[in-house]
Parts: sequence; structure tokens; C-alpha cells
Amino acid sequence: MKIIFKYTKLGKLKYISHLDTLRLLQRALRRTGLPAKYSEGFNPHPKLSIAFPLSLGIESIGEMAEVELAIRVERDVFVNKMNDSLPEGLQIISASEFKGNKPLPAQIVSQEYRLNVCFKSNQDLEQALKIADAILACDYNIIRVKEKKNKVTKKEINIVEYLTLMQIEAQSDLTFSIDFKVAITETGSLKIEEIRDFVSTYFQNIDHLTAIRTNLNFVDKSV
Amino acid sequence: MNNIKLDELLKKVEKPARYIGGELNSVMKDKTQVHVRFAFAFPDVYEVGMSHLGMHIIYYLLNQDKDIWCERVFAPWTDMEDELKYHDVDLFTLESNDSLKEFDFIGFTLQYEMSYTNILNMMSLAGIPVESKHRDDSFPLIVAGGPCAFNPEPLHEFVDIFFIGESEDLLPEVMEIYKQHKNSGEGKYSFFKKISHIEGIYIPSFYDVVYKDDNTIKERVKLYDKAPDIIKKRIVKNLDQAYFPEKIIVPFIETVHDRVVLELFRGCTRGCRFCQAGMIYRPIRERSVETLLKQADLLIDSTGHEEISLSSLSTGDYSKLIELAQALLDKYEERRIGLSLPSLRLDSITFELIKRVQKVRKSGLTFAPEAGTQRMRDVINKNISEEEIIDSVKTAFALGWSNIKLYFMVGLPGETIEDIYGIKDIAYKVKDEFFKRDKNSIKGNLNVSVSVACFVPKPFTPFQWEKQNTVAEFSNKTSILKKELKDKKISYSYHDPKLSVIEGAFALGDRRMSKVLKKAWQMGCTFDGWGDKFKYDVWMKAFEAADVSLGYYTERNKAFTEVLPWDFINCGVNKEFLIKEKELSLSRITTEDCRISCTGCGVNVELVGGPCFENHI
Ligand code: SF4
Repeated sequence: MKIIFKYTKLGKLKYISHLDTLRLLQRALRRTGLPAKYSEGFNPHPKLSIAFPLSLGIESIGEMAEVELAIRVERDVFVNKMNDSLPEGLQIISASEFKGNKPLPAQIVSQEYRLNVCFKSNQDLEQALKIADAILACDYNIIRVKEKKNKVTKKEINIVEYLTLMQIEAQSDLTFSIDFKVAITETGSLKIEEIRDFVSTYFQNIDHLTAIRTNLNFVDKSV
Repeated sequence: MNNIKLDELLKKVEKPARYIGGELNSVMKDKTQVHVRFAFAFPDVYEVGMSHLGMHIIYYLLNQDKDIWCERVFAPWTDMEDELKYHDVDLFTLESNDSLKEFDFIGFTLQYEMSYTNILNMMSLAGIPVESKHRDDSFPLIVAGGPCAFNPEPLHEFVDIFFIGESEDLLPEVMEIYKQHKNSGEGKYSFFKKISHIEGIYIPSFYDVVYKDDNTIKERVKLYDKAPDIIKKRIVKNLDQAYFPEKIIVPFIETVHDRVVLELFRGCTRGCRFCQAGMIYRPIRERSVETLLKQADLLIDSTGHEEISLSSLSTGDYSKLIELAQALLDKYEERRIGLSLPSLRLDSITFELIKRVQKVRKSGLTFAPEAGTQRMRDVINKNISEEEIIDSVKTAFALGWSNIKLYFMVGLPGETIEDIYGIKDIAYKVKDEFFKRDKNSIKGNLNVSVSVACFVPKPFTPFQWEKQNTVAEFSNKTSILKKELKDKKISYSYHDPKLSVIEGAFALGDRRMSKVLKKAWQMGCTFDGWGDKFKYDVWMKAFEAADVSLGYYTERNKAFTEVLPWDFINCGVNKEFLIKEKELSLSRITTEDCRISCTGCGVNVELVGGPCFENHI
């Protein structure tokens, strides 16, 4: 059976890379004793994949992965066994059986981030709140430079084309949060660093800014 | 250090997960509730240190005592070193994130000589003076053990206490005495006196060394009259009942060896004359199949690792290898847990075994002929014939292998140019075997990888009196091979001769090498084992500045009568045996495996107190 689950990546676990997170999940699964289905080939691995990579150093409360088990288990049994086996910062928060046939990574349509923006003074904060709603009103073009084996390619993209503003909310201590939905299209998506740069440029007198991924959205594209 | 500060450092470095701790099975305790704090220090990066079984054993051994908290620290990579310095933060352990300064003990493991500069660097990054004499009682005690401790003298200025031999029994004994001592209000020298009589303990500050005019050692002088003259290595008499952890830490990030390691036995009976491990780990002691299966079970369940490797010096010699391998496969095959086997003499039983192993996970195949000609192999007592190598390779090809690794050494005593060309010949013969077969049965893409190490004479081997090749001699040999091994199917790699001679100077060095070490570290040498970080020119300057000659250690044949820097250590194998072996090597006479009959190395008398094997007299 195929299970799709949502999990957190909090605290120091934000420093675990994509590949290492994958291995961590695979090992945790092994320790539960639940039999996984295995890939074919030279070095077989349990069929478990992470939906969409997360940048190193960023926390999340909305990661997703899918796993194929060789037997049927109750959803709660799966979640409890896995959570016993997983470290504190990485815990499964929900899970459900998936009957479709498309791999999860191909079905992720958007990611969501919350940015907590902290200002130097109350005045700066008030100023910023006034213009916050209009943050996506103007284009914001950046140039992505890629270097591959001495070949430099440049691509211009418009940040705001990818973003939907979801919510702005005052938080404590000179801080408000701003939530974005970021589209994942055939041409890719945005990196959190790019969004941070964009937000930092738009507002003035930011003291510091932290980001957390809050969700991944998927649409069942099975036929 | 608090979390916010740590976060600031971690954000700047390339591999932050090296420093975060919190892995599954790592141990957290309340520091106010423990009596002794011990930092296990591995003088290399996390990925290397965490692959080392000994570290896991010591970690759990100490932590099972509720009065002791053993934590870990590894050499920070250069990017982290820069951040520590920039933010003025002391080097910290992974568990409590406390500065190394706050510990009772820092225990370094000495696995290879070229990690020594990292030892000084790690102390210094925590604000601890590197020299023992500059550390008052407010600083931690610096202790060290591991294979390189068998010649501790190059580190005598920096380390307070050496553990010679195996620590499973020794370490808890010393900790018990320390617990009593800690509240006594007495200083560190009083503690040294309390433990100096224990078998396996060496306190370098209790001795002085006097040299002759020709720079060789005249004598050792005791500065504390009750200190022992000879330091006898410590062993675990019954390995089957020795301490073994039920869990090991599971790293978050990929390490060099990510797997469950079973140590089948300690010691080796083959008697290869170049091999230090083969001498210093004697006598041979095996674990029972029952114990090993139990250990495998506990470790697989507690880690979720996907591979078991069987590790010992000459693993194929384990008396119940087939029984063990079959039992492991029966148990784990279905769970897709791979087993990596040592190279085996092939017969119908091992053939079946290998086929089963290959079903789960395919791995490369390794052979270590060590030398290129039969003559040279006789000199070093590596008892494997070319026929045996070729036969094994043939069978391996038939079983579907196409990746073969061959290990050799150059610079061996009495080596001639034929021996170098012999390495090439073996490589090409292996290649020819692959294509000699029926066209239809040739599968896969052949890769023969030839790896050549530069021979370093080591203490407690029959070659301890030998000089080493010079950089020029080594380079000549490695470049001949580079020219001769130009083939699409053969890949060739070799150890840096420059690194090997520095390694030689530390392996064979006396107390004066500590000056060189300190200079080299002061001049910026760290991570010398990491290719691009190794600065030969700086090392040469360090020798000069310390007024010590490299050639004195590495380019000089020594007389049997010369006092060697490590002569005060008794590893169980006696000098007469080593001299006899050295003389036999000159006449190219081999010595048989001492499982068959005892060849009289002395370990039975010194350490076992009876024959090493039941059938021996
Ligand atoms: S005493 Fe004899 S059997 Fe024991 S290790 Fe030495 S040579 Fe081998």
C-alpha cells in the first residue's frame, strides 16, 4: 500500500540535507519492522521518496513524503511506529493512503512559507504594514546565473509571478508575519533565499527575518 | 554555548550537521548529576570518526556508568575553525555544547600519525595549552590511546596519560580511581602516581630520556622512583565476554562506513613482517558465533542500518566463518540487509555463500598481494601465491564480478625494479583473465583498480630496524607504475611519498619529534591526511626550525643493539622473535601461520599464560 504523509523538520534537524533526510526516513522505517517495497537494481532501497526539497537551514511544519509498504497497515499504526522511531524534531503529523499511480514529487503544485519580519522600531513596523498589501503589485525581476562546466547561463525571472499573498498578521515585538504561496510550475519554483531577498528589499529597516515552510500542496494527477 | 550563538555558527559552515549532535542513540545526561565528564575526541572530521567502531564502544562503555557522561568532539573543518575563532567560541562537544575546557578528561584516539596536528589544534581551539607542563589543575587531563600509542613518545609533551593496548577493562578502572581522587583536592601528579602502576598506563612525565653523542638513546631515567620500567600492554583476556554496546549512534549524515560492524576476533596469526597490527593485537581471541549473532541483532534493531560488515585483521581466518555467514544470511536476507564478506578461498560452500550475498547487494572484490613478485612476498611473509590470486579472480569473474581492487606496497626492504614491474604484471594478468573467457560469458565492464601504498617501517615489526625509502626513491617507483599502468581497464592510485616519509618519522620517532609537531602546527599544518591540506614544504621548515633531522628517523638502518624509542613498551611479542623474523626475511624464508603451530613470538608466555590455541603445546 502507498501512504502519503506530512511531517515536521524543526530545530537542529533543519541542518540535515535532502539526501540525509531521505536516509533518515528510510532507516526509521527499517527500525519499525514494517516491510517496505524495494526498488529493483544494484543496491535496492525501500520505496520512499520526499515530495519536494527544502533548503538547508530552513525549518518546516509541512513536509511531505510517500512510502510503499509490502503489507497493509492501519494508518495510526504506521504513524505511531514511525514517530517512535523518528527524532523529536521530525515527526509525522498526518498520513493517508494514496490509491493513485503517479509519484508524489510530480504532483506537488505549490509550497507555502511564512516569513517573520522583525523591524528596528515601531515606526518602521507601522510604515511597513501600510505598504505590505501591495507587495505583489509591481514586477520584481531577478537574474539567475547558473554555472555548469565553464558554461554560464543567465535567466531572467519575475518573482511576483510565482507568488500569491495569503495573509499578513501582526505578531509580538516589532514583528509581523507574511504568508506566501509559491507556485511550482514546469519551469520550476522559487528558492526561499530569493523570496527573502525580495521581501528584504521591499520593506525598509528590517532588523532580521526568519522563514519557515508551512505547507506543500498536492493535486492528485492520476488518470 | 547557547543555541542562538550555535545557530549563528552553523549557518556559516558548509556541513552544519557535523556539529549538531542529537543523533539516534546519542546520550544526554544532566551535567549537574554526573561526577566525571569525559570528552571522547577524534582528531578528524565527524564522518571519519563516526565510522570508527572503537569510538562507539568507549562511548557506551563510559556512559553505562551513571556517574560519568561521555560526550563526543571531532576536529572542526577549516570553515568551522574560522567561525569559532571569529566569534571567539571554544571548541565544544556535540552533546552539551560545552567548551572542552569544562571536562575532566579529553580522550584522543590515535588511529594514524597524520592526525597529530589536529590534536594540538583541537586543544588550542578550546583555549587549552597544548603542552602538559603548561596545564595546571584547572585544565582537563589529556589522555590518549589507540594503535599509535604503541610509540607514544612523539606526543609525550602534550598527553598526560597514555593507554597502551585495549581499554575495555582499563578505562573503567582508571575512572574509578579518578572518582575517589576528584574530591581529594590533590593535584594531577598525585593522580598520576595513583594510576602509574596499573598495567597499560604510561605517564610520560615520570621519565626523562638521555641521548648519546650520535643522537641515539643512551637510557631512560625515571623521575618518579615507583614508576614502572616497562609498560606492558593491556588486553581483554576473554573477548567473548568483553563489553560490547547494545546500541551505536546512527549519524544523520552519510559517514565513511555507514553500517553495523562485527568484530569477529582480535589478533592475527599470519605473521606478515610489515604489519604492525598483526603483532600488537596478539594473541588471537575469537568471539563465539552465538555472541556475534546476538550483537548483530541488537545493533540492526537499534540502528536500522542496511549492511553488516565483518571486520577483523584477516577476517577469512575466523574459525567459524561459514557458520556465521550462513546464520546471518538466514536471518537478514529477507530483510534486504546486506553482508560484506572478506575475500574467501573459493570452494563449493563459499561459492554458494557468495552467490547468496550477491543477491542482496553487490560489492567490489579486494585482494592484497602487497608485493609484485613471489620473491618479495616471501621476504615480507605474505603467504599468497600468484596462482592463488589468479584462481580467485577467475572464480570471481565467473560469479559475475567485474570490479577488482588490488593493494600493493612499494619501498619494501630489499626491493628491486623487478618487484615494481611485477605489480604491473599482476594487474595485466588479472585483466587478461577477464577477456580470456568465452565471449558470451563476459558480462559487465571490467575495472581493475591498483592501489599502491608507500611502505612505512613500524615499531614492533621485524622491519622496525629498516630505513624507509626517500621521497625520490618512492616517486621513481610510483611514476614507473603510472607509465606502465596506462590502460582503459586499469585505474591506478598511489599514496603521496611526501606524506609517507613524515608518517615514517612519527612512527619511528622519539621525544624530539614532539618539537617538530608543535612547530608544524604553529606554522599552520592541520588535516595533513587530507591530500590538498598537506603542506610538505611547511613540514620541512618545521624540521629545520626544531633542529631535528628527518633522515635520522627514516633514512638510517638501525643495529639490533640500538635502544629504540618504544623499547620500554612490552606488547607481548619479544625482540628475539622480531630479530629472528628479520633474519629469515633476508634469506627469503617464510614463517608459517602460527595457528598451525606456534612460532614462538612470546605472547603466550607474556600475556596468555599458556598456549594460544588448544591444540598447541
Ligand atoms: S605465541 Fe605462538 S601461537 Fe601465540 S601468537 Fe605467538 S606465535 Fe602465534
